[in-house]
Amino acid sequence: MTIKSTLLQVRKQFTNNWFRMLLASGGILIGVWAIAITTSLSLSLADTIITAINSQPGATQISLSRSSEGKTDFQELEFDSEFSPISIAEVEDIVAGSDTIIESYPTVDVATYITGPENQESCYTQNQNVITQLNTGTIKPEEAQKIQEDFRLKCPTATIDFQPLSLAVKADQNKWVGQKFDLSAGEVAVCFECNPNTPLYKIFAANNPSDLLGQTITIDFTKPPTVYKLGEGISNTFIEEEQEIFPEPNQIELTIRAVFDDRDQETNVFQGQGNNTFYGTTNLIQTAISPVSDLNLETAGFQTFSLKTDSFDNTAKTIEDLQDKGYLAGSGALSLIQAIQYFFYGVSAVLGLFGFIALIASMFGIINVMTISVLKRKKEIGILKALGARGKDIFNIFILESSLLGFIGWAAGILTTYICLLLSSWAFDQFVLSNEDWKQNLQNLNIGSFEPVLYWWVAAITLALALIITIISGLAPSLRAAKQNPVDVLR
Amino acid sequence: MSQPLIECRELTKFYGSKKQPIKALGPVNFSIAAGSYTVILGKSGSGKSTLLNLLAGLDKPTDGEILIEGKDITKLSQKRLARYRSEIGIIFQFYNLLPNLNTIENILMGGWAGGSHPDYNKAKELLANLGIAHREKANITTLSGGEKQRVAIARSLISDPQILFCDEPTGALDTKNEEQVKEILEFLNKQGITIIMVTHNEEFVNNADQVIFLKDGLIQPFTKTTEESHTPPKPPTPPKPPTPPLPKVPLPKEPAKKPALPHDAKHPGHGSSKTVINV
Repeated sequence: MTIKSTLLQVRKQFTNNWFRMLLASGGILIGVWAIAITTSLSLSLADTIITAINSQPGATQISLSRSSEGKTDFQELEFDSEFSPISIAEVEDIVAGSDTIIESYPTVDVATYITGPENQESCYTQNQNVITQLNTGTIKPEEAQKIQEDFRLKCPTATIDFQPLSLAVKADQNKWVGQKFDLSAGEVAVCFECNPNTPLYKIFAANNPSDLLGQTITIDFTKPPTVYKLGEGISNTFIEEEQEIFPEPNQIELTIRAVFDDRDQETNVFQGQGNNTFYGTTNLIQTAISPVSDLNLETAGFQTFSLKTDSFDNTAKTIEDLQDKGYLAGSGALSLIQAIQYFFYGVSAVLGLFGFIALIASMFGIINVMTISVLKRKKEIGILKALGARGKDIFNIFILESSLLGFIGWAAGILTTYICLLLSSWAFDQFVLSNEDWKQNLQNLNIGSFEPVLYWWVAAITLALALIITIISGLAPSLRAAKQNPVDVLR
Repeated sequence: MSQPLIECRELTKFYGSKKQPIKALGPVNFSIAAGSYTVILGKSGSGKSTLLNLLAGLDKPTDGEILIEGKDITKLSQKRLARYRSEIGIIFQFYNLLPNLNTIENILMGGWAGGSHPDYNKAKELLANLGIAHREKANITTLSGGEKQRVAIARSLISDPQILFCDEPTGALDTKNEEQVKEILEFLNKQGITIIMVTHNEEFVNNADQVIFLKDGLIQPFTKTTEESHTPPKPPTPPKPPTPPLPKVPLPKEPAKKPALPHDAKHPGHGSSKTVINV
């Protein structure tokens, strides 16, 4: 038969029986939709989370150490692995030889407890929200240099963690109560309601930011724990365990000299955002660390350095380069992002499996429809054969019809998916972003909308699956049609 | 003597299972000359339709040979058999048109099915010559019996067949339409097309060059049952010149409506090529 007449037969079959054909392709529609919607939503969700992580300052940060065991991957290290110190000069050489590293600074962590004035034990006992576990990542090289110059610190088993620059950053963007931004030793700036769970003003029973000025708070600096694995961080429990080793924390009294007022200028409502509860200067570090260390000032060096790359995309490559050079290198953000990606790949695969099962189930529907179609059109087959059509021609008609069922189901499934994704984006705008608090929180994570993407490869894979399944389903009925003896069906 | 167009040797057909075969035909031996008008006559169940199906390549015989221009079609592969079927014309008692397609598409399908690309204008011309030009795009289910059979005739002629097999083509028609179809077939035969007609209607015998009378699957001597038909069938005609590929079928009816012959005269050269059956 000519291609034109084959297509004509198929077209007529579909136009004359469109409702039956549409029903027959319903199974494919559901299967394709289930695979496409779960995959698109899962991966788009993962992308959104990754975008949020990438928006954070620490996303491009690499942790650099040197394991005395010669291992280059944090995952391979035992919990109590030993590290060899790295000097600033050594790191400067590494930075000079790299195109992607833009900053480097030694990482020093410190665990702190903050207590309020006398009889304000709640500050200490309530929970970890008052424990300021300050993250690394915001100490600029010059600050790190200053730390080195000030203390000539070697810290083989202890780490210090602080954010001296938070003060400057916040000061530029927000309103402060009190005019003293240049804090001296023994002084501290606090945020009035930055931590919504345990705001400092509650500890001090203050109604206005200015009420905090001149108050005294006590911070318990402890010598921090031994080196911990990247990503595990300092947990509250962990700190308490370490307290037993260092039972007498270095207690520092600080006077509040400035208060960060985070009220909205128009509504006069406190924002209650952010995690930092107080801000200090390097003087504070000096005050904190000096009594703690048993340092060997002659062999100055740092256990861990933080390196910053020019972009998140270059982070993984930079880590590989550092590992090639024998360093222990890793990125918490990268590990987190990879974990998120693997999780969502897994979720999408598991959910997609349900769609695949729906597709397999739809095979029975297609086989049924095609078998009925062959039986109903026995006479047509006989006529075509009597007119000179070959078995192959008849097979082509039916396999094409079967494939077309798959294509229609796929197209409807993809269209439905697309509409659902648009709806989910719209629903996110309407029901999530309409809440100002949520909106503000999300914007801090660089999430201004949720726009799930229908990936082209999802469409391609589902098309291939739909066609394969319908072709397999159509094979037996089509072969049956092809083998019809014309005289048997014309009697 | 020249080779007959069709020759059957010991042609036999059994139906049913191997353990319980039911004889439908044969063994029969006969030959048909090119350009002749052959009537296969017999009562219901005599095997005449079985014989036609075998000759048209729609069914396989249990035994025997069917030689078409000297080549045995019973030994053809499915592919070549399909090609043979595409080169002959078949007209069925109940038209066997495709209900999905309209009139003109049904006619064109006569060529498309065999893989050729028939000329659309030729199909229209056939419709005009058969007097149903106005039903060109009509839904096939809306046509009358007579119109359907004309469409079936047009479909059988679209590929310029050398042989036209007709299985009781007037069986489902009224007297008027029956007469018209008979006249069309006679005309086609005069154009050189070999007509092989299965019927139980003895009136067709009058125009036949040859009558194959079947009874219980075997060829029997034919004797007319009506008074006026004692005249023996006319002797087989010698092979006629090759069939023109597109016979202009003059409508023997309603000449006032659309005279076909003057229309034919406009295209005297049309159909000068010969159709060869490739088996």
